[in-house]
Amino acid sequence: MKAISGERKRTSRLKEKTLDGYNFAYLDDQTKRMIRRATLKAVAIPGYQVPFGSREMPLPFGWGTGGIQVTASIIGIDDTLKVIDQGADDTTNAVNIRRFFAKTAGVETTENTSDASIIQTRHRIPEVKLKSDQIIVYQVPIPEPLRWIEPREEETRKMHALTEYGVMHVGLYENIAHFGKVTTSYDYPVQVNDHYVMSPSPIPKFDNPKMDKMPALQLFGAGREKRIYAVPPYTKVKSLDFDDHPFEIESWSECCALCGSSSSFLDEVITDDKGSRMFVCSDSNFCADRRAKGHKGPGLPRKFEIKDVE
Amino acid sequence: MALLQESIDHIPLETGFDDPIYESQIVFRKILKVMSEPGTIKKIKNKLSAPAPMMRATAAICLTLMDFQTKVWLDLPQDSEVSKYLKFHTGLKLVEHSSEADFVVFFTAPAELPPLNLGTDDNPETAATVIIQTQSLDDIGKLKLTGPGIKKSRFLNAENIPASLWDHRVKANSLFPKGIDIILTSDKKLSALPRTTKLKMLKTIKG
Ligand SMILES: [Zn+2]
Repeated sequence: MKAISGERKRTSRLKEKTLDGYNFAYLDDQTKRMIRRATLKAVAIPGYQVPFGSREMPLPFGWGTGGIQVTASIIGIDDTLKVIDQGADDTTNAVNIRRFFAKTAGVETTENTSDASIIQTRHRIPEVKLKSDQIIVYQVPIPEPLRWIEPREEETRKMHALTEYGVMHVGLYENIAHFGKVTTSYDYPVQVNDHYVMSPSPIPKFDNPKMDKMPALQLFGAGREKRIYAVPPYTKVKSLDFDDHPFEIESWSECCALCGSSSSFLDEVITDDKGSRMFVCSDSNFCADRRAKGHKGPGLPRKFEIKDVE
Repeated sequence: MALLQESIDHIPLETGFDDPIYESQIVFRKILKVMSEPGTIKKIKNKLSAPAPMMRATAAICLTLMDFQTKVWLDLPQDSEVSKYLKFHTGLKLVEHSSEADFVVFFTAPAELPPLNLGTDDNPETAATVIIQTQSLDDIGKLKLTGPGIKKSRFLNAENIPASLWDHRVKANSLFPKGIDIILTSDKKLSALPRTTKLKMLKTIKG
């Protein structure tokens, strides 16, 4: 007599490491299957926003519920997870999400970009080049790049299907006419595989070129608007631009005050209550890694140093 | 008792996943890998047994992706052992017409495709996923693949697939974003050809 698999009582390998009473990675299997099917279609139609039945999560919208649901549906016990918020591993948001998966999925977590198999991110792509077999999951607040031009969903769907993106170009061009350059510096729209125009989520446009032909799989989850979209590895991702105004990324005349990097995205930070400021890498893991390898920046502003000596 | 006897008769001898939550996650990641990097070949390691003519990779994919929300068409009679097995283990809805299905499974590669749901311009994700079993699957390829998910090109050889099927695929995928996404299986192996993958059949020159 063979055992009937449906009735077999057996401790799942997953339960050994995770909290009792929780589903593995919080979501039930039915929800995961639905999100997994949506994810496969998203991958098959690069840049197209697949609707999915978003679930209630134990975190408010704006905390990356879309990204969390995508991560929960793909993650397994052998994964190593990194979570960043605006480049940093140690913000409340990043720490909470990392803790959430450590508890509900029992996975290893890391701050080291190269050690991660899954990287969930809000508003940045790490400076270190992502590799094949890594997956980056973006938290997306507003998935529709045409929404500011066309509020009606059925209209934007048509525009996407027919690649009617003239209005988008007009909008960006007007931006140039007013300001002399495209001032949209976050969430700058891209076109994927010469078809769908896609919102890259509010990453700085500095990060846009990293999306082009990236060896890692890119997945995007929008919880409130219930959309999943994807860019498969080695896929063409082009930032929208014009012949007379080519796409340009931000650049700084300074280098990172801590590690001396002149190739990373820099944040301007205040170092004391007298308003002393300096520029430092937004990617905290990248910066710490460089410093550990002996790279040094010009240091803190002079004013700060004098104060320090006193 | 008769009723009980009848329902016991419907329990297939072949087993599904030992540890469904754990195993389906691993199988899903393999499907995700082959779908996002077309032509890549992955192998399942699950111990499940499947009724003939269903191969183990086919069974693992079905158990991972199908449930009561998915409409499935098989190139087998609705009362086949495979149908009973899939119904028992996934609760899927079997449909009569291939054009209604979310998943279409060919246990024998067909010479041509039956009517399939290609999705719509506005909702191309509603298109069918087509699973096709082949005699063998390797990268010593006659088929040259290019497109998203492929760095330069990748090669694939799927034995016993009639050349006419590839022509049918081209036709089904001619109006992007509409189209079909194919998963190929062979014993424990799987690979995929999403609608964006371009195929070129290389000629053989005997020298
Ligand atoms: Zn730095």
